[in-house]
Amino acid sequence: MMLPDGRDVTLMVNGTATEASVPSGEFLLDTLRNRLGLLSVKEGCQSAACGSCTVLVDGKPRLACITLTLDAVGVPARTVESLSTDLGAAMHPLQEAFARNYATQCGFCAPGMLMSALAVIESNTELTEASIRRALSGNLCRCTGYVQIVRAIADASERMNGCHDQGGAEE
Amino acid sequence: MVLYAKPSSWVEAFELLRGDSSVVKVGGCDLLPRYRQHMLDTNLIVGLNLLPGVGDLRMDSSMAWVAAGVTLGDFSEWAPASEYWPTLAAVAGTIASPAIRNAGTVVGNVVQGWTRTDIVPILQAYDARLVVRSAHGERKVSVEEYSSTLGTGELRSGEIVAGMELPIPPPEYRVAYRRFSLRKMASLPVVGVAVGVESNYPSRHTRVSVTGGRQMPTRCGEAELEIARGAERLAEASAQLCKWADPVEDCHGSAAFRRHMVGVMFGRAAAEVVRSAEGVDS
Repeated sequence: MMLPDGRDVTLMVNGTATEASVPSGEFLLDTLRNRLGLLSVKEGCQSAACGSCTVLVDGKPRLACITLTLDAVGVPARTVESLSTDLGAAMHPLQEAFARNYATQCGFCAPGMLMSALAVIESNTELTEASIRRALSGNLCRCTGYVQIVRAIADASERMNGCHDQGGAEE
Repeated sequence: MVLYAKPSSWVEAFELLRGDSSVVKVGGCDLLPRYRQHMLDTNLIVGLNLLPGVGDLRMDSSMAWVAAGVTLGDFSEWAPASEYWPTLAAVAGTIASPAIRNAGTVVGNVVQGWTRTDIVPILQAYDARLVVRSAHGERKVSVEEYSSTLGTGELRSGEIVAGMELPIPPPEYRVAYRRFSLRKMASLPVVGVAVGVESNYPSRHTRVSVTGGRQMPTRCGEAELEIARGAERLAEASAQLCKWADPVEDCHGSAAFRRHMVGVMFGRAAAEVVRSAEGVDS
């Protein structure tokens, strides 16, 4: 049985249909960074442990370092570039909240944190500190200690959805 | 160079797997990190995600069918899961991370044949069975039997695990699970114990299944016999379990520590399940 080693595919990334020719065994992380120029997606651990490469596929957090590109064909994918990268334009409320709450230091984990946060905020469930921490359980930050990140997500949720319960500390 | 094929029929999938070095991928949480780190000795990954029925999750009068492609997230959000297998649903909805739960599958947690896993001891407590399919037909293997072998050693050449049968437990049957790990739910358990009992003593149906107690996740018949005699026999059951344990020693914990933690986790799970079976918490 003959198998092609490369395929022309149409990816739905950040609301735009984009044609790309990808080797069949290529990872979504490499396609996004090297073929589509979406450099917000970071490679950290290569082992599905750090969450730096988190993107949204069909609205759900997925790790681009262990997602094959051919599995994302025909499914909407989102990276941080879908929020706002134009420095002259207004930032997304989530980005504003990260800036306002000093939720980044080196910034390497921030794109993954933002996408995990966006997924939980857009799920329209009532957020508590515990549920925010559970949503971030796959995202490692070695700088901030998470306090400002959790605070920023609660802040963004309040401004975007008007709901955030202060209670419910982590179990 | 590694090729990735996505067959759209079972016949095509079996044809692709005739090659010596092809590997099956469904969730990919175990396979793809190894591929990314150039530790995978293969030239063909066969993705099963397009096969008919691979995402099926349905009930009949006696059991649920959990097809190979059902993710941990899908299962945990499925309403009958919380009704009939609440412990499994709760653990499937909290282990690892959201991104892993959106990719990793319930069946894959068994098929990979890991030494440490949260899902397998719970499935053993619920008497789950795998359905293994090949070009020549199907066979059933209990999760208990499958997980006695490291990795995919239980599978024969050309076989694919199509899914899992999850019997509806008796109404009075309760399962509790307690685990110890180094990074809360985000890391694999060092030790985990699932305990299942019926509320009527002497209980005819008891299960004590442990991960981290021996090399592979397995049941302890001696502890099950003690529990079956009555709730007042928990201390004896714990002693039997610690005596039975023969843990490995590695960077996550010494054998002595693991043996101690088997007793601790058993005590917590057993206390919860006995309280639940006696109706204290319901």
